[in-house]
This record gives sequence, C-alpha cells and structure tokens, in this order.
Amino acid sequence: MIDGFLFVFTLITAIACGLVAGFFFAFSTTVMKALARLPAADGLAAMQSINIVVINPLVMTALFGTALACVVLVVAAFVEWGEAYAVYLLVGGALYVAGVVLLTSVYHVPRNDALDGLDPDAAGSADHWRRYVRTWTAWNHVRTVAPLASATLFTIALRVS
Amino acid sequence: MSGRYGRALTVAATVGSGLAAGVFFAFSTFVMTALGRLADREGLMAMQEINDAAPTPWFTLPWIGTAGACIALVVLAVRRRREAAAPYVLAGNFLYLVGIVVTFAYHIPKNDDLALVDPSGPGAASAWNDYRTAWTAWNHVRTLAFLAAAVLFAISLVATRRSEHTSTTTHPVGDQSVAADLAGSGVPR
Repeated sequence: MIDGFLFVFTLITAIACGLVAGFFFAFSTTVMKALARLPAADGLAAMQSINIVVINPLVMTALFGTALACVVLVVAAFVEWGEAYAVYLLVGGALYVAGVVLLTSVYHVPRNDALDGLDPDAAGSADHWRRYVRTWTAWNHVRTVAPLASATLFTIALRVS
Repeated sequence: MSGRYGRALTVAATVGSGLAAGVFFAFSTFVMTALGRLADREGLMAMQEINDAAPTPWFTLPWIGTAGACIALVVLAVRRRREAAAPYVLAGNFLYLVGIVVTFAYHIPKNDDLALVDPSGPGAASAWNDYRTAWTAWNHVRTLAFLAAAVLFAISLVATRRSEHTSTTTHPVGDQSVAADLAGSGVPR
C-alpha cells in the first residue's frame, strides 16, 4: 500500500491531472468549435488573444507543477518497484509527461507561435486558421485523454495494496 | 465508501469533479480575460458561440456521468453513515451540487440572456462587459466548488482505506478480503 507522504502526494497529483485534463477538455469539446464558427478573422484574433493570456502564473503552475509532481511519482515508482502500485505511478506519470508536456512543447507551442505572427485580415490567414483549428484540436484530444488517464491511474494507485 | 462499487464510484467522482473544475478553471484563469481583450463586438460574438457550442453530448457527458456517481454515492453514504468515509462523501456531494446549482441558477440564464443580445446593437458593449465581470466571478465559485468536491472525494478514499487498515489489525473476522490476506500471509487458522 502507498503510505504517508507518497500517498498524499499521489492524491494531490491525481486531482491536479484531472484539473489539467478539464481545461484541455473545454477546448476539445467547446471552445475550438465555437471559434471555428466565427468569421475566420475573428476566430483567429480570439485564439491569438487566448494564446497570449494563457501564459500566466496560475495556468503555468497547474501545468508544470503537475508535470514536476508526475516526474517525482515516476522516480518513486522505480524506488518502490516491488509494490503493486508502482506500475500505476509509472504509467500515469509517463502519460502526463509525454501527453501533456512533450506534446505541448513539440506540437502546440510552435503552432501557437506561428499563429501569433499572422495578421487576421491578411490574405491566406483564413486558410492557415482553418488548418490550425483542425489539427490543433485533434492533438488537443490527445492531451485531454492523457492527463485524464493519469488522474484515473493515480487514483487507482491509492487503492491497490 | 468501502466495497468494490463504493471505491469505483468514488474514483469516478474524484476524477469527474477534477475534470469539471478544470473546464471552469480555464475560463476563470484565461479564456474570459482573452475574450475581454478583444473588441467588445468580437468578444461578445465569441462568447455567444461558445455558449451555443457547449451543450454537446461530449461536453455534458462528464457532468452527467459524475452526477450519476454522486447520486449513487449519496445513497451508499446514507445507508452506511457509520463508515468513516460517509461524511466526506456527503460533503463532496454537497459541493458538487453547489457547482451544479450555480450553473443552472446563474450561468445558464445569463448565457440565455446574452444569446439575445445583438452584437451590433446599442448597449451590446455594456451588456457584454457586465456579463463578463459577474459571470467570471461566479465562475470562480463553481471552479472552487468542483475542486473542493474532488478533494473531499479523494479524502474519503483515504478514510475508507484507513478504516479498512484498522479493521485488519483489530477485527479481522467477517471481512472476506481480510480473510484472504490472512490466508495468503500464512497466518495459522
């Protein structure tokens, strides 16, 4: 059974993963669909604004604080490798790091930066925006499912003995 | 709550409440600010589209699923109110309900009102700015309510686990899992 500090730490990380899953879920199910329905220049401008404001202490703490916690849990999994819960911590932590941190930095951030440089009213911007919405959202589904799976695995890890 | 179903329901309620908190966390921490930076007309139109796009099956599924788990947990917690987890489960359910009530009593009517505003009409800008300020303040409330619900459901898992652990050491009789543990650990029977 997980005990003491590791137990509390896993519990907090599980909830944090659920929270992170939730805000990508909002984009996957609602926000991107809504922005895509607006005139292209307006949708693009709204997304540019979102991408600027999203870089704030609260969101960054939620995203990267959770990432750090997941790394700690992966290390703990190796330290406690004989235990039944170790594999849940390992897979949960690895899923978050790969599905949220790596995916965001390799895929979403470069595309957000490219979008940021566009003039919403320029020729070609509308096409670029439509392509962005489609592919960005598809990969956003992945970063919704990954932390949701992590949250579930960590919560189950609390229960296995 | 103890037992296989009790545990599975609590895990579902914990993850579901965390997910619900996350959705509103996005609006509280950056989406509404981002829309507020746009020209009033564009911000208003974007919000109208978001409200229009929200009630999809995928979006509502986690709330309905979690609400189902919550109702089942309330039944379990009332029937087994002596369990250590019961107070936490009931408190978690209360907070989840607060989040739902705020949504239905405040946000949905305001969203419906906003849907009727003509973005190009006179008064649209002030309607949008009033909406955004108050909507966001109440959105903080439902974010915190869902987050606190997730925390309480998680704590209830701890309470269940603690009490099972205690019963292992003091009252091993009458619990199949404990009997199995004892059989496995070579304790003489």
